[in-house]
Amino acid sequence: MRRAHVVLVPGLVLLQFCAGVVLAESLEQSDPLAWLERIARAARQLNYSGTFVYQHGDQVETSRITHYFDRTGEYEKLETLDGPKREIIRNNNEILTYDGEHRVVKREKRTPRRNFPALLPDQLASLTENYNLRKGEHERIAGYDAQALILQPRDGFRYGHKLWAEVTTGLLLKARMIDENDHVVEQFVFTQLIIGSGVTRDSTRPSFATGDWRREPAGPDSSEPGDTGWTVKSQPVGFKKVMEMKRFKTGAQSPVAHLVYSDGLAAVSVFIEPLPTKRKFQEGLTHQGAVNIYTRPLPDQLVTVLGEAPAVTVMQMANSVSFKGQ
Amino acid sequence: MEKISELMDGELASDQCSMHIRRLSKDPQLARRWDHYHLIRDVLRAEAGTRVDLVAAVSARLQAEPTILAPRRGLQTLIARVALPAAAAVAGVVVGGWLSAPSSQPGRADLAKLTSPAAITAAAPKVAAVVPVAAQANGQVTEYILAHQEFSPTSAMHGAASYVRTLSFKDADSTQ
Repeated sequence: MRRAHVVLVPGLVLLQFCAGVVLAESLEQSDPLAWLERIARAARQLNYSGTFVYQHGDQVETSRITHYFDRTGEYEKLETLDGPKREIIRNNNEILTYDGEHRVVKREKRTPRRNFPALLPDQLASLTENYNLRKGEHERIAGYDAQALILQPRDGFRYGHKLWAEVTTGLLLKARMIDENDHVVEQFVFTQLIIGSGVTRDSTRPSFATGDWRREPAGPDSSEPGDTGWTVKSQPVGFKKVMEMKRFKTGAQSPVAHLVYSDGLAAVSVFIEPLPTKRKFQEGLTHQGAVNIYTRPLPDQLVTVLGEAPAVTVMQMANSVSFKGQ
Repeated sequence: MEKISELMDGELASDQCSMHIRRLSKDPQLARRWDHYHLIRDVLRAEAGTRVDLVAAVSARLQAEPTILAPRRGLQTLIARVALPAAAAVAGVVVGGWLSAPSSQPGRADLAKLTSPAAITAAAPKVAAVVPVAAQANGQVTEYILAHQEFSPTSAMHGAASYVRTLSFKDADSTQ
C-alpha cells in the first residue's frame, strides 16, 4: 500500500525508481507463490500423522489427522479427540463419516480429485490480483522450523491468511484466517507431528466396529460438469467461476446445480436445488467455523451459498443468483 | 478502499488528498463508493433524514435490480415481478425502523438489502452474531461443505484438516 504512493508521485526522476520497485515486487512475489504450490503438493503427497488444535470463535478443539499416499492414491483419517468420538475417513474418492455417538456411518462419493489440480496456474495468477503476498519470519511450530507466508486481502470481500509451512517439506503446520478487524476467524495448528516414516496405510483405517450401525448412503452419487442454466450475476470483484456441474442424488428427481467461484485462494460454492418439501432448512446466514453459509429460498428453488469468505461475499452472491436458461 | 476512508476521516496529507480526489472524479465506481461511505456514516450518526431520501433511493435501487428469472414447476417462465413492489415496501419499513433507532445494530440481512457490500465492509458496524447451523439442517449443509472443499484452494492447502469443520461437535459458538 505504502509503495503505491511512491509510484503515484509525479516526476520523471522517479520513473527509474518505480521500475525498480515493480521488478523487486514481482521477484518477491514469485517466491511466496512457489511456496503455496509446495504447500498444496505436500498436503496431498506426504505421509504424515499428528495432533492439531482447531480454533474458531471462542471454541478450541483437538483432533488427530493421518495422511497416507502411495501409488494407489490418497488415504486420510481425521478423528476428534474432544467430545463425542467422530471420524472422517477418505479413501481416494470416497468419504466416510463415522458418528460414534449416534452409531451412524455416512458414505459420500466425491468428484475424482485428479480432474481438478489443487492450485491451477491461472488461480495463482488471480491470487496475486486479490491478495498482497509476502514471506514472513521463520518460526518454530510443533518442533519444526516453519516459514511464515502472509496473504493480505486487497479488499473486504475476502479474509486475510497467514500460513506457516515446514521449511524442508512444505507441509502446512499452522494456518490462520483473519477478518478485516484483525480478528482470528479460524486457526489450525499442529502441536505434535510425524512426517514420513512410521505412517502406514493401516493408520488411516476406522477405529470403529460398525456391524450394527445405521448406514446412510446419502450424498451425491455422481456429478456431471457442464451448464446448469444458473448464474451469479454480480459476484464480488476478483471471484471467477472455476467449476459448474450437476450433482445427482439417489432418489432425488432433479439434480442439484453446483457452481464454484474462486479468487485464487478462497472459494465460494453456490448450490441450487428444488425447494425441499420434507427436509427442514434454516434460512439466512449461518456458519461452520470460517465457512459462512447463506440460505435463500426462491419461489421453487433453494439457494445455498457457502465459502471460507466474509458474510458479505456469500450474501452478495446468493442475492444475485439468477436463471439464464439452458 | 482504505484510502477513501482515510480521505473521509481527514487522515491523508494534502498532496495525497488532491490526488485521491482526482481519482474519485475520474472513476465512477470509486465515486459511488465515496457516496456509500458518507451515507453509511450519516446513518450511523443518525443524520440521514436531513441529507437523503433513503426510502426513495432504496425503492429506485430495487427497481433497478435484475429480476430473478427462475424456473417454476408448471410455470416455467413466470417472472417474479410482483415481488418487487412488496420488497420495496418491506425495505421501507426496515429503513424506518433503522433510522428511528440508530443506536441499535441492524442485522446483516437488513443491511445487505439497503447498501452495497462495499459499504458494509467499509462501515463495518458490529453486526449481530451469526447463527451457527442448527442440528436439523446440519446434514445437508455438511454434505455441501464436503462437496465445496474439493474445489477450494484453501482446503487444498489445509488438506484433511478442513474436514474438522464438519466434525466440529460444538455448534454453539456465539460469535465469530
